[in-house]
Amino acid sequence: MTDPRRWIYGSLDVVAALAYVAAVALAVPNRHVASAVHLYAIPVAAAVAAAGMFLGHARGRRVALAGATAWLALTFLLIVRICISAAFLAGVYGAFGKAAASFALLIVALLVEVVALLPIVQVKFLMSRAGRRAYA
Amino acid sequence: MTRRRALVLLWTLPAAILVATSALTYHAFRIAPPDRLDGPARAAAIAPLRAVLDGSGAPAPATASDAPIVLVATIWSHGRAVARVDGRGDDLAAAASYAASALAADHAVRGMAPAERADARVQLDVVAGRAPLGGDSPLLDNLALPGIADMLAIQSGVDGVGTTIAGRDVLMLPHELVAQKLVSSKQPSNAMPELAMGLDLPKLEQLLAQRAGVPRGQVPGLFRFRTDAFVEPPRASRAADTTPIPLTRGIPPRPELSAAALRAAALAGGRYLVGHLAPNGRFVYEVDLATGRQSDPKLLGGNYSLPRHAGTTYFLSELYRITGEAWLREPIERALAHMISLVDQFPCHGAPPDDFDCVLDKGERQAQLGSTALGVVALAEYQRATGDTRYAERARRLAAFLLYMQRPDGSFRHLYDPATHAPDDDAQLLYYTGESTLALARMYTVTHDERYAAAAQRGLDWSVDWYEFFLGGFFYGEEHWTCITAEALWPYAQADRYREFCDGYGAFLRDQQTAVGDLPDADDLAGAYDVTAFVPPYNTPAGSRTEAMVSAYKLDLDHGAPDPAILGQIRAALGYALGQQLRPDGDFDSVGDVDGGMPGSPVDRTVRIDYVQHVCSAMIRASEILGD
Repeated sequence: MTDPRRWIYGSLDVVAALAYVAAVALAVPNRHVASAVHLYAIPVAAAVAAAGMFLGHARGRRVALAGATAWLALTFLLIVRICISAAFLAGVYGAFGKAAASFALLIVALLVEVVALLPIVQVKFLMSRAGRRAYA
Repeated sequence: MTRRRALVLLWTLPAAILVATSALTYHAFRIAPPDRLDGPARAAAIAPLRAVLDGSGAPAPATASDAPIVLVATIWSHGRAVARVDGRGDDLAAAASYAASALAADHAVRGMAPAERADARVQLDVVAGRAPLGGDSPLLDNLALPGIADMLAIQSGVDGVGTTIAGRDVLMLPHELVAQKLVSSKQPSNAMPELAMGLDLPKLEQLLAQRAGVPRGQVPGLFRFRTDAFVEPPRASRAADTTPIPLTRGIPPRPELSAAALRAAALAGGRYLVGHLAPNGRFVYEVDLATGRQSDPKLLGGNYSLPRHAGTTYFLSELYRITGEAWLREPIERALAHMISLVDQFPCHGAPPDDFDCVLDKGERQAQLGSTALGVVALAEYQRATGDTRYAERARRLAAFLLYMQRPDGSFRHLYDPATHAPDDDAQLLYYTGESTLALARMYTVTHDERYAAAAQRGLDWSVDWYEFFLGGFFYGEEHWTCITAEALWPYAQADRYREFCDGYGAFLRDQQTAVGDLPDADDLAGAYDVTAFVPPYNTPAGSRTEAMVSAYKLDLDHGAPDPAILGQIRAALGYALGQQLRPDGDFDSVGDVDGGMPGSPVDRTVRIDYVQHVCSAMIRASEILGD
């Protein structure tokens, strides 16, 4: 019997990609090209991961791994950008402030939970024996 | 690569990258606060420039004209920068000599009369460090979150911005950025127009290009710098001590806080307002300190606010009541007469049987409750201070409007259409409920009519009870009028929950008040109410919130339970406010007779009448509770 996790992860990837597109377009629209490219790249990576999951076979697994890894890397870059912004403000103002630090930590925690968690467990599945078997 | 090594990398590399990028960014943009020169070193640096102004001759420049800028000298005369010269050299002494030579050749200085030169004050900005400018740094601009690098590029009033053109630095000093209104020039949200931040880069580049004598497009990359700034004392005090005064954000160190200092500062504020009261009874509404430009009190209209006129007159009456200074009486009466003429200009009355008058400000179709309330507060305070009942009937008719607008549950309707005689039951505007309850409480004080006290108490109950929900004790709106009313109603209303409410409000405000050490680069702002390190605080809240805290403390005293935390809060806020008030040692860069005035913020060089009103009202009331 085919491992159902392929389809579960693939479906979650599709839902996540659609949710991210909606979130970026509606909640955090911005005119900065670099930021827009970065933010829209996350749902694209999620879609690639979904395609790989649905595709099957060894090639599908490689595509899904590439998509999920890119997804993780883009999320990590987002956290790096938050840290750079905080460090810049601390450099200019001599302090970042308790409220700003708390808010930044909250944002990072939400990012990990809402954006990074799915690709983390997905990569773990794809790298496991069960994952390899599912795409044999 | 072994699995173990891969796992080690997986668990450590991301953290290492985050720490490294943060550390690199911090160090790239950090300019540590400069080590301040001591008094003798400051005096030695200024001495060659003072010698030039005194006609003692200038030293021959011993420095190449392309040497780095070490300092910039600004000569202030009657509040205006009449000359500005760079000091180049390898050390402070050489740079001061270089600047003195340049000053001796300056046309503006040569044209000054001897007395004018003696009155002039020399400011030196010794350049103390530089770093890249956010918003002009492509790597940071693309990597940081949108808006961070350009909206929060500099610390206003502390950082200057410069560029290097053909190997020569061209600098725009921190105080020049403020005077040119280049800082706090952007509003990120239309919903919060008072939240202004950011640097006006296009205008800045234009000014730097002008200064360098090149076309605007030829201004290359920009950098931030900081300075150790100091200025000569005023001529009058120079005979006793010539030691230059250190400046932070262009402001001298704070005077020592005491009841006497607060009383003197409040009276200085009163003198400012009286000095800016025209013969027609109208205040000079706004003054731009950098240019001397003022609102014209002869022009009726514009942005002149009747409620602010009333609030300012209320403060003057309060000052008269507490100090008994006779020179205040006539100006107060002149301002009240003008207020009455403005009220009569746009008739606003109830339809029978509702017999009341209301205040309709110019251009308004609906009477705003707050305008009438502050008018009543001013008239009642005048009667309270002088015993003169000439406005008693007027106050009664206006207070009748407040009673008419109150609902049975104690809340108020805030707008009234005099054409249709219909109150607006939906609109709720900031401050109006609190202002109205205070007006009714003050009416009770002067008339002893319990209708007013009962109505004020109902309004107070409604305001306090509004917070009876799950998170009610964790946040508060602008409740300063509410706490002033709670104290004003004592001993008529003695509920302990009013005291608890105001103590809670005080604790909430204390969380927004910075203390020394909270913001290492900005200890000059300690005591201000400051929601973020990134935007300089406004000065008015240090006054209006302290007015409320003085009432909260007095209410605690009435209940026999004074809260030392509130007293500390009052002292901290007024320590900050004393430092911000214009006085002779710090008015060198202000045009006109503005001592006693209160600027909008450390970087907003505008004085408006209500800034003075709130801060000085807090000062005079606090002077009554602070023992020396």
